[in-house]
Amino acid sequence: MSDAPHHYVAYGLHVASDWPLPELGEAPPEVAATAPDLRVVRGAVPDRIGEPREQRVTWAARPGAWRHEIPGVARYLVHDDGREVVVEPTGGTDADVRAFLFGSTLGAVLHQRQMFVLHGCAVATEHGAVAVAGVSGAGKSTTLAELAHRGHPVLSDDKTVVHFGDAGPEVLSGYPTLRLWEDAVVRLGEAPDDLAPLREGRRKYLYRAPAFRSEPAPLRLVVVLNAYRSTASSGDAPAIRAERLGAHDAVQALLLQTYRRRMVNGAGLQAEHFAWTARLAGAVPIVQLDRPTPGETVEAVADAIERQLAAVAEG
Amino acid sequence: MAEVVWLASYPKSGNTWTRALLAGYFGEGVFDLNNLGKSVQITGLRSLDDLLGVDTSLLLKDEILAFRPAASRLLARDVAPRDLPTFGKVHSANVETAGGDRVFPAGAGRALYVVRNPLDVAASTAPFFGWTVDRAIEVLADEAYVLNRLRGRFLGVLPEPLRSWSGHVRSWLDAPGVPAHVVRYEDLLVDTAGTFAEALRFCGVEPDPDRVRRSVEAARFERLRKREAEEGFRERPDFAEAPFFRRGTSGSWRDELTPAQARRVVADHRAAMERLGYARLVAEVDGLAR
Repeated sequence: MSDAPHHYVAYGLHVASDWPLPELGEAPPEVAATAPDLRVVRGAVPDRIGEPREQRVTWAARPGAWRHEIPGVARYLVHDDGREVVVEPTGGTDADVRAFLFGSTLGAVLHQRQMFVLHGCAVATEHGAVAVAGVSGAGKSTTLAELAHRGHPVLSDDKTVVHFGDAGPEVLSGYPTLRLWEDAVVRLGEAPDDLAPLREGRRKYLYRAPAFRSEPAPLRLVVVLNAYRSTASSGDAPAIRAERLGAHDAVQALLLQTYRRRMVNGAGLQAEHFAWTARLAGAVPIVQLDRPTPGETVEAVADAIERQLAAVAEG
Repeated sequence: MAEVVWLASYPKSGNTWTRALLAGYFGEGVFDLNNLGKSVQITGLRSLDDLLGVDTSLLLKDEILAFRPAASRLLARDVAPRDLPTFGKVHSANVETAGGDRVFPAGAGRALYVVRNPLDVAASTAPFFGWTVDRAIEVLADEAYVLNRLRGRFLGVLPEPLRSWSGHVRSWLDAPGVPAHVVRYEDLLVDTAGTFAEALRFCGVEPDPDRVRRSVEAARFERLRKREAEEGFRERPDFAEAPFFRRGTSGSWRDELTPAQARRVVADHRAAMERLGYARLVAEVDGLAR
C-alpha cells in the first residue's frame, strides 16, 4: 500500500484515504485539490473510548467516538465528528479491512456526521429517486440489482442517506459498487469467479453497478420490502401486496429501517433522529411491499416499485 | 430481573411445539404461528446481527463461533431489565470455542433442554431434510455435523454445530454454570399440561392453570398441522419433503426404521438414551429379532 492519499467521493464527501478504496468513485481533480471531508488513516486505535453510551459485541460508542474491533482483522475508530476514521489492521487482508470499513464503520461515520441513514438501497428513475429499505434477507440488494439492470442508475446500496435540501428530501449519491450474494450475481448472468469476494470464504461479491448517478436525486418514494411465507401453490402468480402506510406506521417503519439505530443512541442523536423520521414520513409516501417466499419474485417486485413510482409521479 | 432461557434442542425434537406453548401461554391462548415471538420474546439467531453490531454475512464460520459467547452475555445483559424471561431458540450444541469458552456460557442464562428419543428423531429428520433414513442415522452419529452451512445466498439462519445426538445431549446437560431442565417430547405427549407447567416453573414463571389449559389447547398437534396447511409455516425449509408438522407422535420409528437401523441408533447412543430415561426403548431394540 502506498502512503500517498487516494481521493474519492461518497455521500457528497471528499474522502482522502491512505488505502486504495476501489469500492468508491474517484474524486475529480478539482475536488481532490480541496481539503477532505473525511480522512481514512492508518494508525493506532486505543483499547477503550472512555464511558460508552451504547455497546455491542464489536463496538462501543459515545457522542464523538465510535470504536469497532473484529479480532484478527482490524480495529477502527471513528471520531472528530465523523471527519476521521483511524484503521489499525490486526491481521486481515486489505479486502477484509475494507469489508468492515464499508459495513458498520461507514454507518458510524454517517451517523456521527448527523446524516440520517436508512438500511436500504436507492436508484434514480425518470420520476425521481426511490429508496428500498427492509431487514436483512428482505431482498433489497437483489431488487437493487434488478432495477439497475433495467437501466435505473444506482444511488446507494445498504446505506441510503436522505438529506433535506431546499427543494425537499433528496437521496445522496453513495458509491457505485453493490454487495451481492452469489445467487443474485448468477441471476444477473455474471460469473462469480470474475468478481472479488468481500472475504475469502464467503460467497458474497463486489459488483460494479452498470449505471451510477453521482449527483443527489429528489426522493419520491420509500419502499419497505418485506418477505412473507406464501401458501399459494406453485403455478399461481406470486401475490405482491403493496400498502401505503399511515403517518404513525410510516414513522415506526422508518425508525425500524434506520441503519443500526443503536448507533444513533450511541451518538446521542435520538431527538434529532426522531424529528428526521417524522419529517420524512410527512414528505414522501412510505409504502410497504410484501413479497411471497419461496418463489422467484425479483421481477414482480421491480415491476411493483416502478408502478408505485409512476402513480406517485401522476400525483 | 429477567433471564435468558435457551430453548435448546436437536432438530425435530419438539422445539416448535414448546415455543407454541409458550406463545399461547403468554398470548392468552392466541398466537401467530408465523411470529411465535410476538407475545413473549423468543429470539432466533437473526438477532445476532444486532448483538454483534456487524453484518453476520461478512463473518466466517469460525468468527461467528468465536463471537457467540460474548453475544450470549450481551443478550443476558440486554434482557435483564424486562419482566418476563426471554427465550432464545437454538439448535446448536453448547460447544466450546477455540478460546475455551462455551457458546452459551455460565452466567448467561439457563436451558430448557427439549429432547426426543433418537429413533424417532431419525425417522422425523429424514423427510424434513430430504434425507434417507440411513443418512439421518449417519448425521445423528456425526460429531462434526454443522446445521445451516454457509452458502451463497441469504439464509436467515447461521451455522450451528450440532455434534452427534449424544454429543448434543452432553454439551447441554454437562455445561458448567448453565442450569438445565429436561423436557422430553414423550412426556409432553402424555401429559402436556403437567410437563409444560414444570418447564414454566423452571423459567421462574408460576404457572396459571387456566392459561396452561388454553395454551395446551391452542398448541394441539392437530391444530398446528391444520394451521400449517392454511397459513403456511415460515420455518419449514423449501427443501422439506413433508409438512413441518408431520405426525406428532411417539414411536413412529417402529414403522419407519428397519430393525437393523434401530439397532444402529441404539449402538450409537445407548449411554445418552439411558441417561435420559429411554432404557425401555433400548431394551426393546435389543430384543428385536435379527
